[in-house]
Amino acid sequence: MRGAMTIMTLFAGIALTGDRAPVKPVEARAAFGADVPLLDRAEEVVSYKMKATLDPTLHTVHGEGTIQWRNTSSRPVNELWFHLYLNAFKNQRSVFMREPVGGFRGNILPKEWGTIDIRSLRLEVDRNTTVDVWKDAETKRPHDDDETDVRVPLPKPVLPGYEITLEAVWDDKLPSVVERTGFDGTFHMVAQWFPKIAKLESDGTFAHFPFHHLAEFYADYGRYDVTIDVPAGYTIGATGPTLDAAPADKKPGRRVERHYQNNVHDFAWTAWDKFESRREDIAGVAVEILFPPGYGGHAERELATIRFALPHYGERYGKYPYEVLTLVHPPSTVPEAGGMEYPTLITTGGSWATPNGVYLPELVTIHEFGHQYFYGLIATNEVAWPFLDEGLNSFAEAQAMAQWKGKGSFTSFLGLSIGDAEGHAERARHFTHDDRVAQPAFTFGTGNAYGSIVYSRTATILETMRRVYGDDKVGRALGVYARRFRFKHPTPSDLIETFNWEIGTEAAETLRSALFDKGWVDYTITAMSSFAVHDAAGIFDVAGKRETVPADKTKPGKYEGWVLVTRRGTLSFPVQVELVAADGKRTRVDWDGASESTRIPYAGDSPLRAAIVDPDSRVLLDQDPTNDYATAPGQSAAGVSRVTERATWWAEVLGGALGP
Amino acid sequence: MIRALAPDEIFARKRPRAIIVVYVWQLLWAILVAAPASGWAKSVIGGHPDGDAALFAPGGRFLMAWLGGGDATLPVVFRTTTLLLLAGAVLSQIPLGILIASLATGDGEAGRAPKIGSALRSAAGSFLPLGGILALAGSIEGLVIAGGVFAAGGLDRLLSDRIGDARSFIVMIVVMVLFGAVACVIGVVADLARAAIVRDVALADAPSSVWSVLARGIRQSVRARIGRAILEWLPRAAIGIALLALGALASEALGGKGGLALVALTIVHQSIVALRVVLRTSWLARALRIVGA
Repeated sequence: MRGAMTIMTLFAGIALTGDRAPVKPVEARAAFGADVPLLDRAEEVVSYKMKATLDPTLHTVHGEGTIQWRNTSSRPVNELWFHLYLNAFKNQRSVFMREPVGGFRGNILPKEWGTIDIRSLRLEVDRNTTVDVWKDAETKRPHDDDETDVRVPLPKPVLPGYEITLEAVWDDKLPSVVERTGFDGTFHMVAQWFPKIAKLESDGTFAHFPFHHLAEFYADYGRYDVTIDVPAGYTIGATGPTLDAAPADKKPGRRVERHYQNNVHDFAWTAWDKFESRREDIAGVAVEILFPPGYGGHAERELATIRFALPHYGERYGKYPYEVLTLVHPPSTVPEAGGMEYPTLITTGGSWATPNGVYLPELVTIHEFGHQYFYGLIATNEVAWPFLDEGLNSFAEAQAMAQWKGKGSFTSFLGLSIGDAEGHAERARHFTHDDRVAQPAFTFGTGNAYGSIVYSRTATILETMRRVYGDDKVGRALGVYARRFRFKHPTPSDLIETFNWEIGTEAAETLRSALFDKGWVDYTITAMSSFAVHDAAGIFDVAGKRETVPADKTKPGKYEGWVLVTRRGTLSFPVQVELVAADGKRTRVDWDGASESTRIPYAGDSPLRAAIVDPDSRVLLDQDPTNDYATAPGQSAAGVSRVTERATWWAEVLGGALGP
Repeated sequence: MIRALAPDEIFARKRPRAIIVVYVWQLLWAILVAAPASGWAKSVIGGHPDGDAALFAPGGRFLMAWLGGGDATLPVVFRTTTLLLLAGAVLSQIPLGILIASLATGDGEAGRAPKIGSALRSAAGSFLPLGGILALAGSIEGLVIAGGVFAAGGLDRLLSDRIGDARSFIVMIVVMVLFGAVACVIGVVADLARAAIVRDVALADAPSSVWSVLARGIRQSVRARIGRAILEWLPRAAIGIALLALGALASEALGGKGGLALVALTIVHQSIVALRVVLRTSWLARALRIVGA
């Protein structure tokens, strides 16, 4: 929990600094930050050379290998922290199992428990000598049976810039799939399967966490050289390209593949004897999809998604730097293994029977692919700031889906078109006041709040900013952020500072408030009035004569009125207000939204019939879209003839089925 | 003088008034059933300058805000609509009785359609037995469908690992269709019983107890030529389903539009409902022939 305390103290520290560089003129900038140079490699902190042997009957993995770790911080390090996250499924006393958060994922009790047991962990002290460092390992904290976050004291400090080598032997017992990892029959999804060193921070401390129910991961970049040994007949999918694949005659009865990938911060693999596969070169990347028998149609939909996504994300967030991408569609019996991201490997999902007009497979695929950027290449702390990966990625997903599929980017079915961004907005608005967006994953009260705030509210904040400030500005800000922090570990401050630099102080402050202060906004038409224009009544002295104008002398065909628009909440965006006259004429008026309300005058040839604020639905963050409009008193509303027709038709169909 | 029509005198096309009665009943009751949802929509979106066109606008923002708003109206509307639908199912035994009585009986030598009042008396007399058939057949059909869902789900779980998800899913669908077919056969037999009941009540000299009418109707239906009945019912049911698909296509093509498009959609939908009533009448005429043969 030390990490958690550090994070909580950061809340106070996020503020915009006063001395900012001036904003560059838009025309001088390349779209999506393409002018920002991309790093071609990460700072390598750790490298794993491992061998994993799967027993698919016992669902165990025997692992052994070498870990080289370098102290890239500025201070000597006298301990290492390891994440043994399979132990989250060891018993009901793990942090993962204890946390009472339903409503998201991973809420089933494993039918079979999972463990990772370190058999030995030896530190190389010279070329011929190793010492056992595992004997002193602190596998638990006092009064806490969780065994996912382990401290290993070192016999002597590792000085800055120095490297150590550890030899490890361990055994995994995979759980039945609970969340992301495990087995189901002969299907095995193997993630969080090796002793993984926690992320070293620049001050020499480790960002280490027990495996929380709602949290994901955080680690240093490095090299992974992994040899996977499974029974012959199994198909393997893994992080990185295959360097060697030993045929069955070299090791009878087994299939052995060596996978190698650098510039990544995790390694996952899968093996199943029923996988079918397809390969395709897309934008210079060797894409392979592994899927259950009969899912050929699904595989094609997911490949089509990648055909769109690879160039699209490349343009907006920088070129995908790896040679390979593997998509794994798990069997439908284990949906919890789907919808997950690992470096160069993503798991998708969706029922075989998903209609073509329901873009769920595409959406899951594009979301998980997006994590190659917002998680993989921009390796933020997923435990402390989940919105930086899930939230930004949900925005990227909704933006990409809208660009690909149009307004009905979630579904376009039976005459209804539902947008992904609009879906996020609807989901998010029910949790506006519950929790901050920017808070650690494990501090959310429920899984629903976590999902709705971290994923959907972040996406809605950014989509609102994109619609209000323009895709050129917000697209560029995120493009610059993604390029500038490629192979790095940015924080929320980095994101906000990028917005400040690229769009300006107002946008950055809006973003900060929305993320950290539960910032919200609700525009509403509070009141309106419309009336025929009369001559002023009374006695007037005109050219030396006295005239009496009666009160009912109306100017023909002239009407005036006003609309009172109110902005509630702590955020503000410029909006338009549309005034609709009874003769159908529509007029739009701009309002900067800075004050709490504005009274917009109306003058026209017919009465003011209705008004709507933000008629193009730019401010998706608007807390209650159903108060964005009103009909003037005395005017007839447009009505609901479509709903009446449709409801009557369905009532006739259902009534006909039940009745005569 | 009302008399029983011989099987070869029974034709749906000779009873347009009864068909209109059933259609109008369905329409009026549907408007009543739709009223809570319409009223709710009016209160939420009616004030929008574009009215409920906003609900059908691409993106679906207002549609989701309306349905997902989380206000207390949704469960009230849902419950009221469900209750109205169920009440409509029970009350519709009256127009159903009128329809069958009109088909089964005729006035004079020519077998002219009986007056609505006369058919209404027969319908009133057969209301309780028809209600009994509705409850009995509905329960059995519900059990069969529930059994189908249970069996199909069990098979899917059993087979998915052996033959793969996709094939297992197809097996599941086939099993559900088979159970659905059994439910349809029960529905056909129930219609035969309905035909027999109303005809008996319409022609009875003296009223019988509800139970004896019900028992006689069921007896006659299970003794009828069910195979032939299914053959008569099947093409009409298929056309009815095709018409529903056409209605869905029309909704997809014209949904959300106003003005003439909305008028056209209304005409298409109401024509489909009317045609389905005609198909139903045609089938019930055949059912009367079968139980009267």
